[in-house]
Amino acid sequence: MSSPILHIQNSYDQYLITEDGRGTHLQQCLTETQEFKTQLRKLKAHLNKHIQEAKNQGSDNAQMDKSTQDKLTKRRILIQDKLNKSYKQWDHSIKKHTKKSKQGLIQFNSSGLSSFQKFNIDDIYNNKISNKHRIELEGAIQTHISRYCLSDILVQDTEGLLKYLQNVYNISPEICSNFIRMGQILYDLTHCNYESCWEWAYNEQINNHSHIMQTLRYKLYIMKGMLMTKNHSVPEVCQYFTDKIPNVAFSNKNLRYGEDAAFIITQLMVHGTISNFKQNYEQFVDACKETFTQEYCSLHNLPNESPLSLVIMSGILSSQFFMKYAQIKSSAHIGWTTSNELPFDVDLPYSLTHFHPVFICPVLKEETTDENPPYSLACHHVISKKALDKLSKNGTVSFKCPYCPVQSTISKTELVRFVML
Amino acid sequence: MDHLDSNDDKPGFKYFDSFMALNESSFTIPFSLLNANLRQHEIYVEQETNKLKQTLKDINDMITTGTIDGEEQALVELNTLIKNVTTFEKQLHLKVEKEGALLKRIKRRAAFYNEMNDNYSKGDNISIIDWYQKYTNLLIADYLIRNCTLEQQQHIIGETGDKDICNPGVLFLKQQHMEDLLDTDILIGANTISTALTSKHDLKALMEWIRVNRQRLLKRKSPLEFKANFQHYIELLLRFDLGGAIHCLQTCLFAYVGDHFDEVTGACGLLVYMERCVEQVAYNEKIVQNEREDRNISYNEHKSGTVFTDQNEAYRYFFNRAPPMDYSQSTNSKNNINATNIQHLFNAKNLEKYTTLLDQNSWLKLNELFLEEYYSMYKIPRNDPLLIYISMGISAMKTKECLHNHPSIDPRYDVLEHYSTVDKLENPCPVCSKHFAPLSEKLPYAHHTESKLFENPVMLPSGNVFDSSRLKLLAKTLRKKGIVKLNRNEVIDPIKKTVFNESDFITMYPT
Ligand SMILES: [Zn+2]
Ligand SMILES: [Zn+2]
Repeated sequence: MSSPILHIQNSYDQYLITEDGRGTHLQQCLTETQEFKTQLRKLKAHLNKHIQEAKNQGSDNAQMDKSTQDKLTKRRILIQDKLNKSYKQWDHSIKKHTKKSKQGLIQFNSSGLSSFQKFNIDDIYNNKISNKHRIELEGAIQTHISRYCLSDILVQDTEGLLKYLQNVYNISPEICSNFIRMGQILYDLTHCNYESCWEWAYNEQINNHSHIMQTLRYKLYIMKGMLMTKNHSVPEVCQYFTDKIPNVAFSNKNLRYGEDAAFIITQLMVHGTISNFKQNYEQFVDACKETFTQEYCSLHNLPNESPLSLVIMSGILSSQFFMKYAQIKSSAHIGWTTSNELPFDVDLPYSLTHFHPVFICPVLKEETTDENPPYSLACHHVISKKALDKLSKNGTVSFKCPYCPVQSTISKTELVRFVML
Repeated sequence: MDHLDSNDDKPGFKYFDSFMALNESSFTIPFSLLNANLRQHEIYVEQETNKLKQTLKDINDMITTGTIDGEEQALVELNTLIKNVTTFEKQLHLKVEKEGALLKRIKRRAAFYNEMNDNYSKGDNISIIDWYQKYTNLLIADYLIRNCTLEQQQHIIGETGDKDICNPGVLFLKQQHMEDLLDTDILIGANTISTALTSKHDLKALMEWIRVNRQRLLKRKSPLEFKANFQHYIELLLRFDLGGAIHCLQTCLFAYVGDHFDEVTGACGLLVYMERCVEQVAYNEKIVQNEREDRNISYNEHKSGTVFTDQNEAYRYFFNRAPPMDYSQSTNSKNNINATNIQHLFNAKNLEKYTTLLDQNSWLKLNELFLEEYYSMYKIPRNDPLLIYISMGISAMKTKECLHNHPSIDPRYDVLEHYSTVDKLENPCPVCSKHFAPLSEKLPYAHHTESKLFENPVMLPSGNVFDSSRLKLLAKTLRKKGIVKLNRNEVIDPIKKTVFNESDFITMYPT
């Protein structure tokens, strides 16, 4: 419950809803002012009428009788009173709401913002990236945009899109051309147009990739069926599902063709339409886009995730290790160590660490390198070369494995390499 | 993706609070803008109610006269009152709108960060990855806005024809539907002033910003205002606008003599020396003539200083940049800086002091100082957050095997299709990727205390150690596709491309 976001949300609600639920105090200032203005207009009309009458009275009889005069005076005073009163009321409430608005912000600060831990992100930027690397850095950004964001751009004809990317994001065709077709097809899918995707899948299937395209084509069939329910009769849709979709397209047992089709047909039978159409349809489209993207990337040998987003994810996950270290360092008044290795262990998920094997020599507790590679002993325990040299006195003596009773000599050891598959 | 977060005691992202600490400005900025909005409102209320009160008093006085004339006058005044209230209402309306927009920012942001926490609570890995992608996009937008150049702005206007949105980061945010997640107005404010300084050497925008924020700068004892004025002074000198320079010295710079004594005196010295430069031209020319007549004296022989052949070169040497456009026109006729003149200048004792005052980097330094003040004012990170996260992210992932170009196999690519070109395959490791490899080189490695290998490690006679089940799976698929002829119980070492029998497997005990 201590999450700063919860505090923010609570203080936000508090600030927004004032006692009588008429919006923020600033909004109430506005409402009051509008009411005041209406009031002023009414009084103006009264005053105007009063002046007209007084004039008429004055011209009818040169000498107004006393009661008429009293009446006019009374009304004049009434208008004046009303004017002063409504001004006073307005002035009071404007000032009151302004003050309360101020108090609301103070409250927002003390109950919402102060719940944040104080930390300046600049304090963990210890290993600066030199300006020399701007071009490469921007290359990574441009690749990321090309990979994920092309379908969000309104310009979609190939030439226009290339030009747009060059002008707006400074992305050269060299970086983005591989992604252009993908972006266009995704754009079409988002806009309920699956023909281009269909065509692409069909062509790729013809080009001997049938096993890959199956899932995608299946999903497209389902999507088409879903769209049909919008303007076709129930029997027509059923016929589409039973007759129009070739069985060969669904020979893969893993595809739950039956289930999705059955879902759609059941919905049609029971409700005559698909309930929650928008939500269900969007789910199908998202699944379709996902499958398409995967297959497109794998066909064109493009990485499925952009290196940038993986690096950022790693950065976010490791940031608190950096923060903790910075806090310890600052309380101990020690400078940042300038070794070429981070001074702490960062715990990252497998998805971010599976790229290279990491072997820590169990004897020296060091990561093996090209200069100090791992060696297998006779017993197939593995230690680093440096440890081996130490144990074998540079290969001159036989020695006992540190982890089991087996004796080894240098001739029985073997250089090994760990490879991730 | 597995155990992105191994949190048992509390649902949500384990380090949510500390991550939020890094994003505090997402909330403090709209808050400070709300405050500023209200402060303006307060001042306006004070001012307007006083004005209206006076009008009201006038009306009262007129009505109290009891005459029709007075009443008619009051009517006119009442009209004025209504008009003023209408103006007040309009202003108030703007303030309310502004408040609403800022509150919307706060609401959207709270929802955005909550979404991350919720994804972790639900253990929904796809959404978790999606969210990181959104955050990456946010960092990209921030980077694009901060680093937008004038040239880029021109390109964008050329493409979209829209002069109002000429920053790629703003366009990007729009396309990603993330407008409310970043305080673009604040970031663009910095970018506009900054590009004016660095690309146009234009101080106008900066001076205006300083004027608005003078109180704050004074409180922080910031040298920014002085430095800006000083730069203005230097520019006047460089344009040989001596009158302007002296005026600037008197009206702007002398006020700072207490805090910036050295620089102000330096500025005065610079003036004297520049003036002398102008005054002595005629005199110097005479000397040169005399010297020519008297061939025994040659400056080149006993002085090691540089000799300039023309005044442009002298200018370039001295000010480290190209002469201004109007330089030749305004100065050519009168003050020819020739070799002798420059020699005289080189004899000046404080020459080094002057050259540092006229450093070509002064605009960049001024820009740095400005950004420092601007960002600290809104508590925005001084460095691009994108770079901060990249630096940390790379280090946390960088292994000793990175950047070595060892052939390795991407499990996510279709090995079957690309088997024959395995050597050429790029390693999927982001640190080793084309764009990050060069900048990864200088960053520290991750620290590991435990090996991170795979299950069932087996060694082949080639000395390569693989995950045995993966190796078998690879063999199976290759066999099925007919890419390599393999018997049952045979596997292939994808690095050495040699066939081995499963009986060759040697179980390893790496730890
Ligand atoms: Zn052993
Ligand atoms: Zn790597």
